[in-house]
This record gives sequence, structure tokens and C-alpha cells, in this order.
Amino acid sequence: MAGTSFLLYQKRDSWLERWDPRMKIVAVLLFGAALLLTHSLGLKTAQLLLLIVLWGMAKLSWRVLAFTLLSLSIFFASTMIYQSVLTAVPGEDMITWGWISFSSQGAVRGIMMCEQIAGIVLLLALLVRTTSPIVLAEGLEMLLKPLKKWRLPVHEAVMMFSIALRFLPILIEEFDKIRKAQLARGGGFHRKGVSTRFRGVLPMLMPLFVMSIIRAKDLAVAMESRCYQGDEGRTPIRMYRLRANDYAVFSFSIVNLAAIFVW
Amino acid sequence: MQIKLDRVSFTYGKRSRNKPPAGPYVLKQLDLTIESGEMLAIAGKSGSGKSTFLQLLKGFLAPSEGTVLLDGVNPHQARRPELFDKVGFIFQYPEHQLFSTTVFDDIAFGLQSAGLADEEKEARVRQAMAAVQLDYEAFKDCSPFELSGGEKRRVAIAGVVVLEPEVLILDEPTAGLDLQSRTALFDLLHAMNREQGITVMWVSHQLEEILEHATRLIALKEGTFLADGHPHSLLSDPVLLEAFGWEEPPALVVSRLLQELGMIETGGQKALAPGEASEAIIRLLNRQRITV
Repeated sequence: MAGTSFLLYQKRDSWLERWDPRMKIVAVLLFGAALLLTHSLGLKTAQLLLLIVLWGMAKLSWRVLAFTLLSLSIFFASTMIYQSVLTAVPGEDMITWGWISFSSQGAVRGIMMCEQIAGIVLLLALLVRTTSPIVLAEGLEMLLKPLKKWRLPVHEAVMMFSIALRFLPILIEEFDKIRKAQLARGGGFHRKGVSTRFRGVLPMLMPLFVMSIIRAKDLAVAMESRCYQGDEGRTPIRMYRLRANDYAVFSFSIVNLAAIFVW
Repeated sequence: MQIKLDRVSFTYGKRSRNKPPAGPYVLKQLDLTIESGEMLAIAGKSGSGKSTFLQLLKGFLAPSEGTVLLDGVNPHQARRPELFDKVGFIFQYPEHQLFSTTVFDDIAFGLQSAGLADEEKEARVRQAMAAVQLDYEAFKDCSPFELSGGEKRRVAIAGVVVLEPEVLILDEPTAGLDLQSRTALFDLLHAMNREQGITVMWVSHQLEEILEHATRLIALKEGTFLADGHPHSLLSDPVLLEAFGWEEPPALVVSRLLQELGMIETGGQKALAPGEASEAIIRLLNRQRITV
């Protein structure tokens, strides 16, 4: 179930949900840049802690946070090994524990790298989890509006993005159902060796593709029958206005980004 | 095969030792014995726990409390999940699960890991296709995607039947089928039940269908069995009908009225067949003409 709700937005009436989507996206970009650009361990840790505080303010579940971080544990482990053991530069202080020796600078590099990965993932998770897909798509579209001058299909791209996001949970649910159905008629292939199990991949993916195509077709018909005709003449149902709140978020992001150059 | 549920409860919430389970119970303290060869209908509104109940019987889910026994063995405890292979499970809209390039391959999917010789495989597929009334020669090389809806569903059912299950569970098998396909499907289920002694369990929302085909009805509400018995007696029970918001099936109403008028002498346990009912009505009309 944790997998199904991984990218789901649920209304929780938190403060973060009331932020303007445009400002939220800009803030995510600025915060992400700051997170990637700092070379100070302290600052990176502080930023990560801030994200965790925001997670709490967004009333998101701590279990999901733990699940998110745990799912990255292989990345963390390999990053740590790579940074501190494999790429130790000669001349760094080497610390030896039994048969392992690693450089302390390498370990710090590793920790920073892990914090970066965790930070970016949390940042995006926060964005997606506190913004409904439609609002997110509208915000993105407004931000990318200037690109329309060069005839880039901004609206279409954003629509595709939001539909994909919307259908992800349905796809996961459907996969679970198909998996069970094929197990039910598979004669116990899932309990046998790797090669027999491998034969079960096509039976699970094929119906999923077929259903997705059928669903896409249905969706297209449904959209057209509701008079959707792309960007042209489309009026927004929601008007977005930046409030003091949003300017504060924006200023904070700028200050945060500037801080890395001062530090 | 006998299936026995002993005080089975189920919750989707995580359970940890020494702690009451988190989350609400989907099924509560179910006791049930299903004997070999029954035709069992399961009714209940959506959200009443029907799907969860069926998935417990197939072993997709393990009960949170209580035990599921197949012929007296608890497959979860005995670590013998292969016992659940004797239970065939056909999901709603099974035609959505077809994947192969030919009907033959699709039906034979379950036999692939059984290590059968080609001739035997062919014989089993032939038999399964005969069971669902699909002509072997005409259909075996077709693509399943170019068949009609009813044919696709029969291919999907053959894919389960080919494994020779002892119990067949179907989740709303008639959803989206036309009247003819519906009748054909139930003919097929009856034939399998009669000739091979297969226990058939299906979820249905059609009271007429239950009345016509089931020998036993289980009505689920909010995770508990509200009723368990013969459909004729249950579906004429006003208390039960009230609880589910059902209306008494017309066949039962007519039978009951005719009985109240003294035109038939059955014990009220039986709905009349259309022929019997019309005969009784004609007799009634004739008698009234005479008395007038």
C-alpha cells in the first residue's frame, strides 16, 4: 500500500497546500539549486532538516517519510562506499577500522552526497504531495508560458505530464490485479525457478499495455466529448494571485541560495 | 474439496504481536463450511468484503485471525501454498488478462510450468475449450484480441479450467455479458458442477440469477454473514430483503401469491418455473370464471 500512495496527493488542509503553485515550483528549483551548490556540510544538513520540518508542517505521515528514505538506502550505501573507500585521494587522513580503511574527507563527501539525494527526493515529494496534480499542471503551464512564443507545445506537454501523474496510482492498482489474475491461472509458476518466473513477465505486462491504450483512447473520447480542444480559447477556472505568504517563500529561497555564496 | 473457515477475521491494517490490529476489520469472525459440489452465490453491496473474502479462499490474502482449512489442512501454516492451486479464481472481466498471440498459448499458459508433454498439453487445452464450448480447430490459432467479448471471456475461463480446479470462484462472471452469453456461461458452470463435481462460487448482484442457479446463498454485509441458506427461503424473507434494500424477485412473489390463493401445494420453498406458474394462473382464472 505504501507503494500505491507514494506519489499521491491527498487533501490535508496544510499551510503548504495554500502556497501558490508557481511560487512553489520556483521555490523548489531555487532550494534544489542551493542544496546542490553548497559545499558546507552544516548548511546541507540544515536544509535537509528544514525539509523534514516542512514535511511535518504539511501533515504528511512520518511512515511515508521513513519509507521514502529507506527506499533510497541502496543509493546511500553505494554512494558512501564509492566516496569514502573507492575514491579516497592519496594524502587524505585515512581511518582504519579492522580491515576497512576509509578517508574521513571521503566520508564527509559521501554524507553530503547522500544528503543531496535525500534532499532532492524530499523536495519533489513535498511538491507533489502538497499540490493537487491539476493545480501543479496549471502552475507549470503559467510558468512556461513564455516558451509558447517559440511555438513549443507547453500546454500539451503539461497536460500529458499531469495525466501521467494522475494515472500512476490506477496503473499500480491495475498491475496488482493483473498479477493476481495471472497467478491464479499460472499453475504456480511464481513458486518455481527464475526461468519459469521470467515467463510470467509478458503475461503481466501485455494486458497492462493493452489496458493503458484502451484507457488512453477512452480518455481522449471523454475529453473531446467535453469539448476539450487544446489550449485554444481555454479559460482557467482558478485564478492565482500571489500573496504576502508567497513572496515570503520566494524571498526565503533567494536568501537561502545567496547564503551558499556568503558561507 | 471442502473449504472451512474457522473464526476468520481480516484487516488490511498492519498487525504486530501483542497489539490489537490497526485499522478496521474488513471481515469479522466468519465461520463457514463449503462442501464439495455446491453452487454457491455470494451477494452483498460493494464494500461489504466480498472481494476480500474470495481472495482469502484463493490464498492471495492470509487471515489476520482464525484459519482457512482446505480439506482440513491450513496451507499457510503447513507451508503448502500449492494447495491453493486447486482453487480456480476468475476475476471480474477476465478477458482483460489475455496476453498471448494465439488462443492456444493463452489457455496453455498455466500448463507451461507443469512439464507436460505436447500431446497431453494439447489434450488438456482441447478439453478445456470443449468445456467452454469453443471449437478447438476454429479458435486455437486465432488471436484472442480479435474475438468477441463473450468469446474472450470463455477463453479466459478456459485458461483457468485447464488447470482442473476442484473449486471455481468467479467474481461477477456475467458483468457486461449479453443474455445469450449469460445463459451459455451458466450452462457451462452447471455442466462442470454436475459432471465433474466442481464447487462453483460466484459473486452476483442479480437476484433472479441467484434464484435460478444457486443451491446456497451467502449474503455479506459489513464483513459479516447476514444470511446463509437456500436462496428461495432467504429471498422471500422480508427482514433480509429489508436489510439489503432488495425487492423480492417476481418469480417468488407470483409463487407466494398463488400459494396463498391455494392454487399450488408446494411448501413455499420453491419458485415456480414459468410453465407451472402460467398453468396455475390459468387454473385460477378458470375457477373464478366458474364461480362468477
